[in-house]
Amino acid sequence: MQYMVRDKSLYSFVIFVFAAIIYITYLFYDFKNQGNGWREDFGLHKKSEILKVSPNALLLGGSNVAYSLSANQLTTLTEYSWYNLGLYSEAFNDQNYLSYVSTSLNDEQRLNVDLVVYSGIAPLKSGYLAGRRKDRSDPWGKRNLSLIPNDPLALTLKNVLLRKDKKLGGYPLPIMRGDFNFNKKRCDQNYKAAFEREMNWKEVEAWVIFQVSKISETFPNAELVFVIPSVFYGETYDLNLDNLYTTKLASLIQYKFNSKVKFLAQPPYFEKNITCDNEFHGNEEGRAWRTNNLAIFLSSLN
Amino acid sequence: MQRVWLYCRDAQRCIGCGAEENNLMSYILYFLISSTILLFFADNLYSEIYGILTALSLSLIIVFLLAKKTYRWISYILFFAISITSFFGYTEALTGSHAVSDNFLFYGLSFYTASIAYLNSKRKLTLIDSLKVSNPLLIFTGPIALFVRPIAHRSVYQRILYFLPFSIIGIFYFQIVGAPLSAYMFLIHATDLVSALTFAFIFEIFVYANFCGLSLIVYSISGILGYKLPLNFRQPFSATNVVEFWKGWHTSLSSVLKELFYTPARKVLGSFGALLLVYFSSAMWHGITFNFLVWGVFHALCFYITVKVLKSNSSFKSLITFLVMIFGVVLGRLIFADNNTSRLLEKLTFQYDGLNSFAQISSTPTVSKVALILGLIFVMGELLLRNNKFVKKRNYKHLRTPTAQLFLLGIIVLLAMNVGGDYAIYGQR
Repeated sequence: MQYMVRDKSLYSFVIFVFAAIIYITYLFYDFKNQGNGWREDFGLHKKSEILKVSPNALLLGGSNVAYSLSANQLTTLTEYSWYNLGLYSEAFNDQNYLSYVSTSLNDEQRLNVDLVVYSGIAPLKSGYLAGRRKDRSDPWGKRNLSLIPNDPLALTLKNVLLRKDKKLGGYPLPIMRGDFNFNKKRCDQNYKAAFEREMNWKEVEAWVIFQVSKISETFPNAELVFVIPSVFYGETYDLNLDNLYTTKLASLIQYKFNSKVKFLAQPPYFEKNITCDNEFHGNEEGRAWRTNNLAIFLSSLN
Repeated sequence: MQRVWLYCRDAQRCIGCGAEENNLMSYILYFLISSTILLFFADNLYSEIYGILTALSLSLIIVFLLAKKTYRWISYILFFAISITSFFGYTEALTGSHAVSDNFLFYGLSFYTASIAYLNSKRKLTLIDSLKVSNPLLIFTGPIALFVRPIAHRSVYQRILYFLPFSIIGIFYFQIVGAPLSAYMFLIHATDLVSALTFAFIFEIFVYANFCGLSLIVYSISGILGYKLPLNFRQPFSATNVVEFWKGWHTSLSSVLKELFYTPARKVLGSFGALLLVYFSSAMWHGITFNFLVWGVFHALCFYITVKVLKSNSSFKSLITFLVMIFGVVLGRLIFADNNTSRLLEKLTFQYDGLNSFAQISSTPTVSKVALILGLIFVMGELLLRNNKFVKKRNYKHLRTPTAQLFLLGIIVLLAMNVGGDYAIYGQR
């Protein structure tokens, strides 16, 4: 049997060339205009301020820490001087974040840190760890030129037509001790809650060991508290699975690090109106509640 | 209307094909160019692309050690090598989720060993054939390289005109439909009836878009380079029954299964026994887990029932076999996708617990919802328009018309974005 191709294929080829030119042009535009400046402003502001504060206790993690834990409140409730180093999306991959943390303090400051609380959402989202492992972005989300744009052309066109500024909707600069400035953020709770867990246990295990080891290396004199953050799940909450998962994580940390690392799984947010713009972010009230829960745990360690 | 003769299926009838068939140098060049292309795109497909090459190099040594001992049992050992590594935990079960092997040496092993098993069984294990099936560009879409044929006698211009549209369809399926659907993977944890079926349905579209998309891209690149592959997917959703469905789904693996299991077993076990063996072998090849065992038996039964009904005089046979296909594909995917036995058993109790999954779907990013709608449209298009003159050829001709290409390219240019999920679901072990 023989196959044929109609000469109309030439039209397809011309269309392809035309589309390719538009696409490649947009790739360069997207590359040049990528990254939201507020991520960098937010991170660098903390980096410059922490040198003045010289804390002896740190809050590390992603946006769940930036939004939902308060260094000021902990400084009042405990005997430590805290600083909140939570970054948007935890700097997109673990290497970025650990590098950001270690370069934020000088050697003397690092050796003076006595307590570190690390709170990561990685075990709470399926596929999140694999995504972080593959992410080649810089700490502010800027990527090398690649074959796929960061934002779709449709969204860029929409923003141009509606004259929307990409910087709007980002994080405002933090207040004292790196805490989130809720006075300049509107919390509309416009999200749908969903309960999930990373079920690839090998991935979780490798991640926990890596994170704990690296943080311990960076802060050799500090005691480490590994925290599973509060999340709002609403009706999707699966208590049994959560308990099983938490027990397994606690056993892993106990088995690998004995009593050197403490483990705390914080309870889910009890209602949506104490959260901000997604299930991992508390609003000002949610932050106070979650921070208080952490402070109670820390006081029990003494 | 002017038509351009492009190539013919039977290489024997092509002038000049015979000489090129055995041109070792052309295959080496093909291998090197393919490797270069793959490495260029590797960042989005594999983080450890060199693993494939290492695995292939090691496997090649084994192949040449075995080359002269063409005993049939070697084929079965080779074919089930991936089952053994899966059983001992060196590789993951191939459920279609992102189950990349921890040991990068095993990347690409499953299709490679299946290919070598086929060649060994056919007693065609030559240097050229080994080189063909080692081609890293082809290895992650199935044992497709077994059926590669040169068409270099056609001009590059003609090849581009014919094969380029397949790339557009492939990119559309893979990047615009498939990748954003990975946002729905969390639904696998839900065990109620509606959520489980919703997940199975979405996951079916995801697997099809990902695997078919990549296969079409590879088909297109290979064709432009001067080597024609068979279509790995032939519009499976244009089928009217399970038998037709499987004729359009992962055709390269089906050919291997037929050669290794169906043909020799049919004489001994009869049709149904051979069929059961084929599905059982396929199931074990995907992974030695409970869900695959159930899946194998379930699909063998669907296939057998379909054949029996088609042979009957029932006036409703078209409707019955169509319903068996819908039931078999969706429920089959539900079983296939979940290798967590206790969770799967809970799903199979089919307990109704409201419409939570729809609320969860609405919470996903817009790009995922758009992908789901597009996936639905294209799958339903294959199904509902199957008698259309373009669709019924089952070679994506309806998507290769200039109008369709304009539409696909427009969507690609407008919606392409980095969302994750752009990995080869079948090429990770």
